Amino acid sequence: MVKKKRKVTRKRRTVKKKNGFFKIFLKYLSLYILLPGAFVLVAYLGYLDYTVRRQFEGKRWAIPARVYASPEEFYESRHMSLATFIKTLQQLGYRQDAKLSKRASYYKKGAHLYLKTKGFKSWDSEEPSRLLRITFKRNKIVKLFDLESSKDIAIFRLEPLQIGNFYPSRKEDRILVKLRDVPKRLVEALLAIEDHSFYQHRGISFRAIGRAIWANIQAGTVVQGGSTITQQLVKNFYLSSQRSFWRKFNEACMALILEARYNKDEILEAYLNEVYLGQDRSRAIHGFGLASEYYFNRPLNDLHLDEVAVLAGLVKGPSYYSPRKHPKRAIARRNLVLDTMLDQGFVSENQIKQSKRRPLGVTQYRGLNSSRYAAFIDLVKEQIKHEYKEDDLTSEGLRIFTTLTVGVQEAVAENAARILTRLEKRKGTENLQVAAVVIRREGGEVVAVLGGRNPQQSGFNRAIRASRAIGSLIKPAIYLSALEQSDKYSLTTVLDDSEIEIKTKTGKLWKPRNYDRKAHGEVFLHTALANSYNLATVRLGLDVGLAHTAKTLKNLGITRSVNLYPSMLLGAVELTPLEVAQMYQTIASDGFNTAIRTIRAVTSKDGKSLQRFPLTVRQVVDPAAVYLLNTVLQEVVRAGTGKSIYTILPESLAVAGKTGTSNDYRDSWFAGFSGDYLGVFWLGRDDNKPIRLSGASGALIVWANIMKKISQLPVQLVPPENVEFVWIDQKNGLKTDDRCATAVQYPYIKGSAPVEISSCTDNFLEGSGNWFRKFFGN
Amino acid sequence: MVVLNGCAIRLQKRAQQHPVEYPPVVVQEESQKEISHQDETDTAKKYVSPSKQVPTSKVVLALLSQAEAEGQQGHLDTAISTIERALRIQPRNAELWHQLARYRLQQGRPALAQDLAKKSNSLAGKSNQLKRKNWLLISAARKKLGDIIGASEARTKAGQY
Repeated sequence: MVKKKRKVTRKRRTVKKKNGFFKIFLKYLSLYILLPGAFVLVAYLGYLDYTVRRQFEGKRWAIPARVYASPEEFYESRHMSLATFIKTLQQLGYRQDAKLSKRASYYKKGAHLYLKTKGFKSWDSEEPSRLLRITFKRNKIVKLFDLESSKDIAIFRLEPLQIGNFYPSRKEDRILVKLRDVPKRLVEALLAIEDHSFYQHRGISFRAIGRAIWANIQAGTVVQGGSTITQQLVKNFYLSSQRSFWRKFNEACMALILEARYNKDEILEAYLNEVYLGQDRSRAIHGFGLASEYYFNRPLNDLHLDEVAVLAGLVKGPSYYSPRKHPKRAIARRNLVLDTMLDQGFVSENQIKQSKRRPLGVTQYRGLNSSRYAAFIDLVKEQIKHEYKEDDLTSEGLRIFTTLTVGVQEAVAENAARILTRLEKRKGTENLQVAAVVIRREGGEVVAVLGGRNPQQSGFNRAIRASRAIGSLIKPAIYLSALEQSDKYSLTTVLDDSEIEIKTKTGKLWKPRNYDRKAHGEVFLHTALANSYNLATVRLGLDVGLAHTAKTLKNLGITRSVNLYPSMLLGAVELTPLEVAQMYQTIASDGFNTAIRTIRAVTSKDGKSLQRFPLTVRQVVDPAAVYLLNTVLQEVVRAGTGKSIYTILPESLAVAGKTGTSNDYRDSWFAGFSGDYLGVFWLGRDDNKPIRLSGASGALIVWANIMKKISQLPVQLVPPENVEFVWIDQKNGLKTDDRCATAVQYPYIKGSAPVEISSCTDNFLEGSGNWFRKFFGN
Repeated sequence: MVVLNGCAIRLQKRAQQHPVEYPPVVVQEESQKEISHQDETDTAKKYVSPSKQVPTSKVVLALLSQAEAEGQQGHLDTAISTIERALRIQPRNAELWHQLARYRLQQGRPALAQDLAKKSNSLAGKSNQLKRKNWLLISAARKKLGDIIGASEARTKAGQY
C-alpha cells in the first residue's frame, strides 16, 4: 500500500517535470520564434498589402504618347491611282473582303473600289465609319458614292496612320478599356478557359490547383496551371517572371490581399488591361484593347465570338499560340476555348459550330515601323518638349496628331537613296550623305524629313542638327534687302561683276572669285542673281550693308546670330536644312512668315482636345520686293544656274529656287518651291571632305526628281498692286515699247522703273548716247 | 565715239550671252497642269497677269459650307480646322484666307486677323469685291487694336474697290 502511493507520487513528479519542460519549451518557442515570426509575417503581409494598394490605386500604367501622321483626304479630282489607294489601305491594315462584313475592309471591282472605313475620332471631329464606292479614271478619283445614304459625297478622310510612340523605359503599350465596354463574350471566354470559379474563390482556388496537379500527373508533364485570374494579375502586375517557391508564396499572399481589398470587377478590369498578349519587335502588347487592334485592326467591342476566342486563348502563351506565326496552333486553341465555353454553358452548340468554321481572321502584320519616320518624330519631339514634360509624354497616353504626309515622306526617302547611289557612281564619290526638309509652300507644315540616306538607321538627324555652310543660298537675302530699297535698286540695276579685293578686320586680303573663274563686267541685277555671280553679289552686299543683310535674314526667320564678315555674303554661314527651310518659307509665301510646325493638335488618351497649333502668319517683308525676288528665282531654274531642272520637270510647273555650293564643293544645296511644296535638300559628307558636286549637279537633281513625284500645282505669282510692268530694251536697260525687237517686260515697284527712253527703233548713235548717260550720269 | 560704240557692242553681246526670258511664263488658271505654250518666235514677251484669283473647286466649296455651318454653331476652332483642310487642297485660294481672317477676328485675335486678311489680299489679284471685304476686316481689326487712324485708312482703302 505504501509502495503504491510512492509510485504514484513519483509518477506525478515525473509528469510534473515533463510538463514543466514542455511549458518552458513552449515559452521559448513562442517568445523567440513564434511571436517574432508572427510579427515578421504580419509586417511582411503589411508590406505586401501596401504594395498591392499603392500599385492598384495609384497611376497604374504608363501609356506612351502615340504619334499619328496626317489623315489622308480623298475627294473628286484628286490625282491618285487605284493601285496606290489600295496600298494606302493596306498600310492601314485593311483586309480584302468581298462582303465588307467588318470595318476596315475593301474590295476592288473594275474601276471601283468598295470600302468600309474604320472611322476615327480626331481632335476636331468624329469621322464615322462609312460604306463607300470610289470610282477611279485615268489615275484620278472621279466619284465618291456613299452606299448607305445613296448620295455622292465631296470628301472623306481615312484614319491617320500611327507612326510612332514615345515610350517610357519599359517598352509596353496598351489601349485601356473599361470593363463595361468590353464584350461580354470575352469575359465569358476568359472565365471558361482560365478561371471558371473566378467569381467564387477568394484569390486562390485549391480546387483549381488540385485539378491542375491531377491533370499534370495524368499527362506526365505540366499541362495545366492552377493560377486564378487574380494570381495571374499579381504575377504580371507586381512580380518578375522568376519561378521560385518564394515567388509563388508572394503571389498567393498578394492574391488573397487583392481579393480582400478590391471587388471582382475591379480585379477583372485590371487583368483585361494588364495581361501580356504579344510582342511586336521591341514593343510589348499588353491588354485586350491593344491586342484587338494589333491582331484584328479593329476595336475590341467590334470583334466577333471567334475573334474574341482567339484573344482569350493567347493568354496561356502569346508566342506559342501566336496567330501569325503559328496559325494552326492558334486555331486549335481558339476551338478549345469555344468548346470550353460550350461546356460551361456560355454559348450554344450552333454558335460555336459557326465560329469554328471561320478562318482565323487576323490581319497581316504591319509593325509600328517608327524607325522609318524617326527623323520626323525627332523633330516632333523637339517641338513638343517645350510644352510637355518627359514624364507626361511617356505615360499619359497623349495622342499627337502631326503634319507628316506618308506618301511624300516615302517618295523623299526612296528617291533620295536611289539618286545618291547614281551620283556616287557617276562622280566616283563615296559616302555621300543627304538631308531634306519638305514643307507645304503655304502654311509651313512639315510633310517630310530626311535625316540621312538610310532612314532606318536612326542616328544623326542631319536635317535638324547638321549645320553646314549654305553658300549661295544666302544671296536671295542680299538681293531682297536691295530690292526693298526701290529708290536705289530694281531688277535692271546694272551691277559690276569685276574683280574685287577686300581687306578684312584681321588685315588679311579676301579675294572672292566666280565659279567659272571669269569676271562678267556689267550685268543686270537679276542676271547676277540668276547666275549666282559672286563678284557682283559681294559689291551689292557691301553696298546694302552686312547689318542690313543680317536683319533681313532675321526677318525671314533665321534666329541664329550671324557673324558680320564680308564672307557672309557668299554664305560662310552655317545653318541646318530646317533653318534654311524656314528662311525660304517666308520667301515662298510672298513675305508672310509662318513658324515651321509638325504638330496640328494634341489630345488626351480619351480624345479630349488639349492643344491646337493652328495656322498663323505674320507679314515680315515688303511683298513687292519678294515678288520681284521670286521672279528671279524662277529665272534661276529657267536660264540660270539651275536650268537643268527642266530636263527633269515639266516647264509648266514654273518652279522657283536657288542653288548653293559652299567652298571647295563641300556642300551641295538646293532650296526651291512649286505651287504646293517647298523643299530644301543638302548633299555632303559627314567628314566634310569635298564631294565634287555643285548645288546644280547634286541637290538640285534630288529635289527635282522628288518634286516630279509629289507636286501637283505650278507656281503662280500674283504681282502686288504697287508693281507695274514696263517694256525695257534689253540691250541698254532703258524704257521702250513693244515695237522694239529686243524689248522685254520687267516688273518694277512703282516709281523705280527707268524713265529714259531707249531709241530702239531710232538710229544707233542716239540710243548709245542714252546708254552712256545712264552709265556715267547716274 | 569709238569708245561708246565699243561699250554698246559689249553690252549687246552680253545680252545675247544671257538670254533673259522675261516675263515669267504664266499658266491659265483653268488648266492648271497643262502648259500654256509660249510662241518661241515671239521676241517681245508680254507679261500676262492672272486676271482673277484661284477659282474655288467643288470640294473646297463643300468644305467652305461645312465651315460656315460650324462657325454659325459657335464652333470656331472646328470651323478654322475645316478651312485649314481646304487650304491644304487649294493653298492659294484668297477666299479661304479671308474666311480664316474672319473667324480669327470673331475669336478675338485682331492682329492675326489683320495678317490673314493681308495674305488674302496678296492672292486676290483683280478680285475687287474680296479686296474690299479684306480692307473692311482690317479696319475692324485695327479698331480692336486701338489703332483708330489705321482703321480709318483701311476703311478709305476699302472704298477704292
